[in-house]
Amino acid sequence: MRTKISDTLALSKDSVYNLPIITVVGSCEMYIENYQSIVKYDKDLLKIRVQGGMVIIQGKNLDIEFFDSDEIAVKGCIEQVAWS
Amino acid sequence: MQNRNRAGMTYVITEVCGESKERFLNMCRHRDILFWDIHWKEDGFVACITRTDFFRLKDICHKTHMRVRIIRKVGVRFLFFRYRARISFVVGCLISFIIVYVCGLYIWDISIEGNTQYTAESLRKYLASEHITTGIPVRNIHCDEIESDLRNAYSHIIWVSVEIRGTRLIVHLKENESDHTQQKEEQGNLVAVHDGVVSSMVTRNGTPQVQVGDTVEQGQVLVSGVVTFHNDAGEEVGEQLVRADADVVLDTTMEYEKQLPHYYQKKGYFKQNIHSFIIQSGTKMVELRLPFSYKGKREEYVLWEQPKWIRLFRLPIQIGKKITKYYDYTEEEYTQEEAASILQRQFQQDLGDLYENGVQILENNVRIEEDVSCYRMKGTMHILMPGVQYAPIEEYDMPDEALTGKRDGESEHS
Repeated sequence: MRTKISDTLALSKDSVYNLPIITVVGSCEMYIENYQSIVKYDKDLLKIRVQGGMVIIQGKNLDIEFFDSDEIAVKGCIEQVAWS
Repeated sequence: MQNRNRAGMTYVITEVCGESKERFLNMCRHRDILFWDIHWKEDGFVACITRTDFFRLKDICHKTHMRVRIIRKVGVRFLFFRYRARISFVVGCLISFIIVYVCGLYIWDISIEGNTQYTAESLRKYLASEHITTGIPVRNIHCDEIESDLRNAYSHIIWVSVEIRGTRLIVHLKENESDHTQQKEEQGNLVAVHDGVVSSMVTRNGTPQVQVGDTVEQGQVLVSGVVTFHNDAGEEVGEQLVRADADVVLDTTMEYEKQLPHYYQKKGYFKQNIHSFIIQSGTKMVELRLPFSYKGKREEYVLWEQPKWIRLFRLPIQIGKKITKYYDYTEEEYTQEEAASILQRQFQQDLGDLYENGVQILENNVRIEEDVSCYRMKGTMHILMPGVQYAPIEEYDMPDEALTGKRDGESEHS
């Protein structure tokens, strides 16, 4: 039903299915919108639960620049971004 | 993306320690407690949080067994709280700022520049009569009106400009100097200032009464201001009074004598000077000094201090530093060398004055002598000196038939 409505009205998937939007600025900044929770926060690893999976960020000196109910910003030397 | 303006924000930098930091962060997110600048640490993280959110963390900390510690407080609110004991200092600063601001709304100094003929005092009196005095609000001053009033009141002022600079009212003016420099022509003679022999004589106006080589006495008329006109037959036809003008050099001797007593009162200053501060407002003056009871002779100097930054901003209060020097006199005796040195120095000064007045010294017989009461520098000098001075003709009976001008004389002759 959702798929039909979104296809008919040409709505974006993120607003209909609450899918995450991931923005990466070079290898130093990363913004994830529509995230659900922080699963693991370590110096070199950050796991963030999103709708339908988990975003795994690997790097060095990872800091959370800010977070609120919709968005989280990660700063540091990002080496790898994986989806599981 | 979140636009966070932290300028002027009150927040705390906290250190969060514990095992379940992820749970802590997720609970904070659910309750809209926001952290930023989260830096990972071995057993937790360091992050910034607002003051109000910090007080909402207690319940979460209890549930997640995390410990929160404040590292630093940032913001004006904390600054005021930290220095709450110095509130009087802040209030003092505020009051002084208000005082300076209020004082800046008034004129505290009236300066007059460019005046030569009219004194600053007279101009200030005139301005006072127009209600322009120190202490007047700046908004009540209309420079154009003051300029036109000054031009109308003083005929010799040809240009005037009034400006307000800080708390100063500055009046720039230019005066017409042509009338000022005109000299009034008066009739008169030239008389000898000293006894002597006329050495040289150049007459520009008037009738010479003596010749080169004549011996003259002090007060004798050398050039008369009465000019007589003659016709072609050599008959006297008229007279005119003029201002005599001539260069006359007299060959004369001048007596010179200067005395210096053996004993003199020597002024001895005390080693310690008394420094004090003076605050002056209008005609009232207050001196701030330590109590000092000595009532002897003293000299007082006041140095009015005017810092550079205050040049434009004059206040009704003036601060000065007063130095009081105490002294006493003791009787001392001059040695011969000291006396000779002092008398020689005085003599050289007197010679310098004579040279400045155009005197040439041909022979100098001045010597130093000592007698019972004093040292004496005495002698005569053979000099050439400009020997005339102007003397007005006070009473002169002009003959009835005498004509007072050349034209009249000419008319009679024709």
